[in-house]
Amino acid sequence: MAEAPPSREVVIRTTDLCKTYRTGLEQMVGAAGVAALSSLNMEVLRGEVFSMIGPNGSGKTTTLKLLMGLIFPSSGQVEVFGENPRTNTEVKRRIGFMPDGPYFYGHLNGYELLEFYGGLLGMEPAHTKRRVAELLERLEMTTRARQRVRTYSKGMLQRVGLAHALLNDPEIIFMDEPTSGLDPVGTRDMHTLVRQMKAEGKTVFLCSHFLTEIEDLCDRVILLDRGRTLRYGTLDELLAEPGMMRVTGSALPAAAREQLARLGRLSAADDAGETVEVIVADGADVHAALECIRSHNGHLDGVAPMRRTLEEVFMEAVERQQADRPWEDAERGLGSKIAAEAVHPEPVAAGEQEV
Amino acid sequence: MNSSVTKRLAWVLVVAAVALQFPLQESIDRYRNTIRVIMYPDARDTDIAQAQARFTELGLQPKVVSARGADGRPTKAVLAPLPRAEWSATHEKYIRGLHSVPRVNQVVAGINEQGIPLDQVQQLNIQDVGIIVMAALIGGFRKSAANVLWLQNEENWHSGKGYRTIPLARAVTMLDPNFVDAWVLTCWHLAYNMSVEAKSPDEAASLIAQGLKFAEEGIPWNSTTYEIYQEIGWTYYDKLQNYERAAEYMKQAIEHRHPTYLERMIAHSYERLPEIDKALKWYHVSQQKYGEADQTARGAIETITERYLNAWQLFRRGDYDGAERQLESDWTAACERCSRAGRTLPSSTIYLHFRARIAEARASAAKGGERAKLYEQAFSAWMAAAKENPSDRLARRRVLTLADNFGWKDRVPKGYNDVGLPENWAKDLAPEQRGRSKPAPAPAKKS
Amino acid sequence: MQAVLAIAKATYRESIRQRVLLVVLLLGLLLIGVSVAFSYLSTGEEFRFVVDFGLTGFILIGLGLAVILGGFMIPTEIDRRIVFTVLTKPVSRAQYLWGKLLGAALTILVVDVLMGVAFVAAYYWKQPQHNVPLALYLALVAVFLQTLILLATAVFLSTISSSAFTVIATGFVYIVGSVNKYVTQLSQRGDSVLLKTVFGVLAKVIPNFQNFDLRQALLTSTPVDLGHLAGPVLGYTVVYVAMLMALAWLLFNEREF
Repeated sequence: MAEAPPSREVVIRTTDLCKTYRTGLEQMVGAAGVAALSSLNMEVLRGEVFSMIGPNGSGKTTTLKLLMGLIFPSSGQVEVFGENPRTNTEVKRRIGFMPDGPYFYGHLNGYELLEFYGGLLGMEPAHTKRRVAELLERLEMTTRARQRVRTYSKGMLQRVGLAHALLNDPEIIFMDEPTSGLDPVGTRDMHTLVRQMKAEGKTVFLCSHFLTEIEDLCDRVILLDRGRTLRYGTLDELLAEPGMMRVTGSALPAAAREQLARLGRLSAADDAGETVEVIVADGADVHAALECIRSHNGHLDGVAPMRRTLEEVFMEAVERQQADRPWEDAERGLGSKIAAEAVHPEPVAAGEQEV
Repeated sequence: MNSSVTKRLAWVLVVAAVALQFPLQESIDRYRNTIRVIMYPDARDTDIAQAQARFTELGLQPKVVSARGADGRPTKAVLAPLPRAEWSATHEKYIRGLHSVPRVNQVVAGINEQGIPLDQVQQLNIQDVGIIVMAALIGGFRKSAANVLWLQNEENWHSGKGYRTIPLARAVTMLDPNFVDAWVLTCWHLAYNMSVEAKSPDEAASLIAQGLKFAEEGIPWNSTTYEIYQEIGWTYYDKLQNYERAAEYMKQAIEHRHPTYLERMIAHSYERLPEIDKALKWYHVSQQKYGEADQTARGAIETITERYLNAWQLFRRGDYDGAERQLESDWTAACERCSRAGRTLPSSTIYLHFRARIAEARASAAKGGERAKLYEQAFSAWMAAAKENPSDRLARRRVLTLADNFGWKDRVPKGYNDVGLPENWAKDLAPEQRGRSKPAPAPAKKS
Repeated sequence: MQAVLAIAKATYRESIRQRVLLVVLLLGLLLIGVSVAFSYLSTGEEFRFVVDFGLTGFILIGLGLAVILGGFMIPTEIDRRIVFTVLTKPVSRAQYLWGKLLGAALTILVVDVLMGVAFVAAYYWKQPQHNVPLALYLALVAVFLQTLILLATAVFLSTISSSAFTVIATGFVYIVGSVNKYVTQLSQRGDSVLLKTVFGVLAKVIPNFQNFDLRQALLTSTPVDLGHLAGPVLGYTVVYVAMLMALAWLLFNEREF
């Protein structure tokens, strides 16, 4: 199914959003507290799949809670459909939330639980009944719906969590680790569902640790670490290495490989080493690489713009952040190797988002 | 709604609630501390007016309302709120004043809490009551705590620790003042069981008085049931043979649901004084009330009429000589009738009391030197009555009173008492233990 | 309103299906049964023993329910993050609190009705005239109203503290409220101005639970007016519950999860 391109309407916006956690005592003595989020500036467009990634403690959950209206910003603004979710509860009629490791009232059965949420959403009882039946059928939970929630497995709880998030056919769905604990089949089904929702024009805000999943599903990504934004943009913007090309060839003799190695970053493209790829600057080096393969009677497998994996981008950004501020690890008591060595950061390459 | 506006409204609500609780509490206190006198459905207007008058005497403003009694039947109630400063004095002052109004079904000082006043707690013997009272203080299991303590009281008595009766009974009745049996049985313990083990007549008299006083304290809490009135009345009748007080209390007992013999008890009391016209009146009351079932009353009316009525009428007119002669004549005739019929001779108590009373009335009416002489005759008449019936305590009391008044103590035998102790009560006691005797002087040390 | 009712319904279902509630109900029925059995040991007036013991048990069961439901409901939902799934819906925090209170109150009402039926049956059996006065029903209603205030107290305390503290504090409120007369007396006696002030404040701030105690009226067979209960006593309950819930909202509204 062809996916609808995201419209330009901004459905979620944060402006210099900050959140500092302080205990009551710290508030009283005017202590600094822990800065969980610093100057978050972010926009999510209608109809896109947007992801927030980052290591543990990066501020993902804090951001999610701010967007849900569960906590208050220390400064800055947060808007969902142009309204403050903390003060305007009506906004929440248009959103759905699938929590990580969902926990529900254990003594209610599946039907009762979803009807309860339908009541909270202000849905008509008859409409709620229809919708609940439909969702349970879609998520293959009908046979277990009469049993109490406390008897459900983790996967079933996840499905009930999803059902409750979709109950009101929301325009935005917040999903926190949606595939956590799911088997490969379940994971695949979840991915299919996300694509379906996008096709229906819904906006999906996804928090996940599974970077391959993000690469598969998302349109735009924001990368956080220790409350700071490290990278923010479309996947193409984040993963592409502008001005670099990947040339792939096979059946090349050693001399050809040596020559290619002098042109750029050479690596094996398969386990056997039969196929190699070389990353070279666009332009003359590409032609030189092609000529090398041709002159050695090798096989040209492909020429394409260079694209990194999200994992590579993630690790590089996080390590650079930690190198820049090793004392923060010490303050947090993390005692990381990088903090101890205080490695100097590498110069920022052109085109990369500056922190 | 704007968040700050909502917060302000919430604070306004909190302040308003804090302020509103005061008038509400006042209203509740007023209701709970209203004295209610709930009449029987057949109470007359005069009875209601009497209750109102009693309220007014106590300085309260009563009003009469329609109400339902505990049995659900419609009736009238007289209500008056108590001034706040007077709440702690409720029972002593108000209920005692109200309990004697006729046809009163219930007198309730208010819907009081279950707890116990702090100052009264200090009077309790904590050794006896301990944690039970503390738990009851918090307001729970009050009747249950009273029951537990009462069972302990019975155990104390049977194991020879009867001296702990009073403190324990105090605790029981403090926990549950409506525990009628506690008041009644404690009075009985003191007046009967403990007084007979007294070391002297003074001690015996004191124990009987304590029992009566204890029971009296229970009346305000239980003024609308017959038991305490009956117990006090019976104690006066049987133990002290103070027939006036006995009749007074029995009359209060019959204002409420009571056993059928109480009217007769009043008649018996008057009969023994004697007050023949009152005795006959109460026998008639009993007969009217209980009809043919009351054979005793019918018989009593016949015998009193034939033996004493004529003499009584003369006595009431002040013709003491005529009364004496009539009494002798009627009494002799009655004895002869019994002999002829082969029946046992009638008890001479009433005859002897009447005779002594005529002598006292004659002496009281005399003047000058004649008076003492006539009182001596009355003294002899009472002595004769006491001698005829050793358990006649009314006669013994009159003997002791006249002996005290006229200095005839040497004519009273040693050990003579009106509290039921045997005359040789001092025999087994060491001299210093004998109540009315002075202790013997210590033997002089030989140098 | 729909949200409040939905939360109340779910709270009721969740509470009534818990095993601990069944245990509490059985305990209450046992107390009433014991009062009937032990009444034979009491000296005279057996039914008065049933009234005292049974009604006191009723009160204590109410206290237990208020503490269990009010003290553990909200903290448990916060700990388990169930509250996230509720507050991420178009539900205000006030609606959430009122819904929880209403649901818990309904649970207590059901338990009280079941115990009340047993209690009235015991009273009817033991009372010599087999006449169940209006005062008995009013006494049971009064206990329920008292329990509502305790429940609101526990809910208020649970929004600012742990369950353990809530249990202890609610118990303290019950004890002080039950001996309000003595606390007032203590505030008028003694030499220490500080102590007198403390007792005075306690007497005024903590609800006076003696207002709801009709045991003495029952034991003395005093008739009680329906108007008294439906008027000032109910008003007192409404005022206190509203105040406690307003305070709970003011605190809960600022709470972060």
